[in-house]
Amino acid sequence: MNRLKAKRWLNEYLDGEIGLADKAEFERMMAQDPELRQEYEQLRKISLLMSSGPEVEVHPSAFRAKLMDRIVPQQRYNFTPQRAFAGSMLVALLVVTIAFFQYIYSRAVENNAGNVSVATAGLTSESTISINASASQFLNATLQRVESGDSRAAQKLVEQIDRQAGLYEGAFCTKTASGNSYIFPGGLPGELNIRVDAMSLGEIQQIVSQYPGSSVALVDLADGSQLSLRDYGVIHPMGRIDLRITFNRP
Amino acid sequence: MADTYLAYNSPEVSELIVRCQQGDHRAFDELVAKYQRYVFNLVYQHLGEIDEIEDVSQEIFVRIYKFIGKYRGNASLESWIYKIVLNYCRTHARRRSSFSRMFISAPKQAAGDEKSFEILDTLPDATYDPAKTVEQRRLVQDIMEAVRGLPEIYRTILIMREVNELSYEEVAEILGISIGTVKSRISRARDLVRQKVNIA
Repeated sequence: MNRLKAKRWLNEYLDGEIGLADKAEFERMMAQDPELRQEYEQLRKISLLMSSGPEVEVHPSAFRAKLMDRIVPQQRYNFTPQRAFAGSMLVALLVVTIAFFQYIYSRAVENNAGNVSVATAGLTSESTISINASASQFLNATLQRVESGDSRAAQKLVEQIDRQAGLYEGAFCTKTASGNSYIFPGGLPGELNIRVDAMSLGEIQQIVSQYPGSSVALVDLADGSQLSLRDYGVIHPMGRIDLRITFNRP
Repeated sequence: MADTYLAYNSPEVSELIVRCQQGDHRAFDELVAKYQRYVFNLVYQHLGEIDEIEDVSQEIFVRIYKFIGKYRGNASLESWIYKIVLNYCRTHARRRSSFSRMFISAPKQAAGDEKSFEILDTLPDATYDPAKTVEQRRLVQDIMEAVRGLPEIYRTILIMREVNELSYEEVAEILGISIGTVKSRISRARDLVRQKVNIA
């Protein structure tokens, strides 16, 4: 029994885990028992030598760098067939989305070019202008407004008239004291029917104002209502109007 | 959330654990910096194979990275890591099926193979007596041979106690055994080593 107790105390004593009372008694036992004392010395030496074995010193960053290279790509950039498929689907979706919006945009542009704005879609807008001048005077006036400066609206009006009526074909310019004058050798009609936008309407109004006695009809809308030419341009800035221009002078 | 881990860890370590659990790679890098020496030494002490220290340590840290989310703070992070090291070393040793070079094998570093660590000889050399130093080295070698020859349950517990200087409670917690069992196994392991080594 004493031997068993001595054995238990011996290990607790070596490990520093023995109670104070037991410690004093164990030290008395060792003093009286040379064999126990020798066993303790041997175990203490083994313990000391074991704890003084070689140690591993790790270089501060080399191992971490290798480890993080292995861990981080695993989590973030691992290439799998599923991820490749998901990525390609995302790209395909992006392409379809871009194509859709391009289509919508092109349709919108096309609609505007087709003389139907969003605001006037479905309306047939018509009006008549009676100008107290000849067709030649009117056309000269349009060209002079183009020459006079940077009026993009005048340039556009001339393009619209030329495209739809071809009145400028063969015209030639002569110098006069008051400026350039245009001759139209092919002859000119008594009236002009063109489809113009709101910007060109403004230009026409500017020209009409040069000729007193001219009159401008209201714009007839499809719903039966009427607008002045000026209001039409304000309310339907992207709208188009079928305009009949009559010339009161030969 | 870091409060959960304060019972067994410092505030700094608790904070680090939380950040690692949230997937912060920088925090895990800090954790590796803090515990790499600890893990390398445990691997060296329990596996004893110098050539495998780095690879095994890397596998252990990969496991720590994978399982850090499961750490619940029921023991210190060091104890938790120690369990992972022991489990991995046991599995690895079973695969290797030999402990013949435990502790004392000379480094077999291949030319051009850069290692992230080095083995430092910490044997006390206070006597300035070459003969005594040689004798001490021989004695250490004999002791390690004896430890290497112990059954696994005695070898592990003796290393935990004598080399890692863990308390009975810490050993019991890590191995999942009672303190009484810890005491009896340590006592038995010491007896076995003392019987094998001739110490004056």
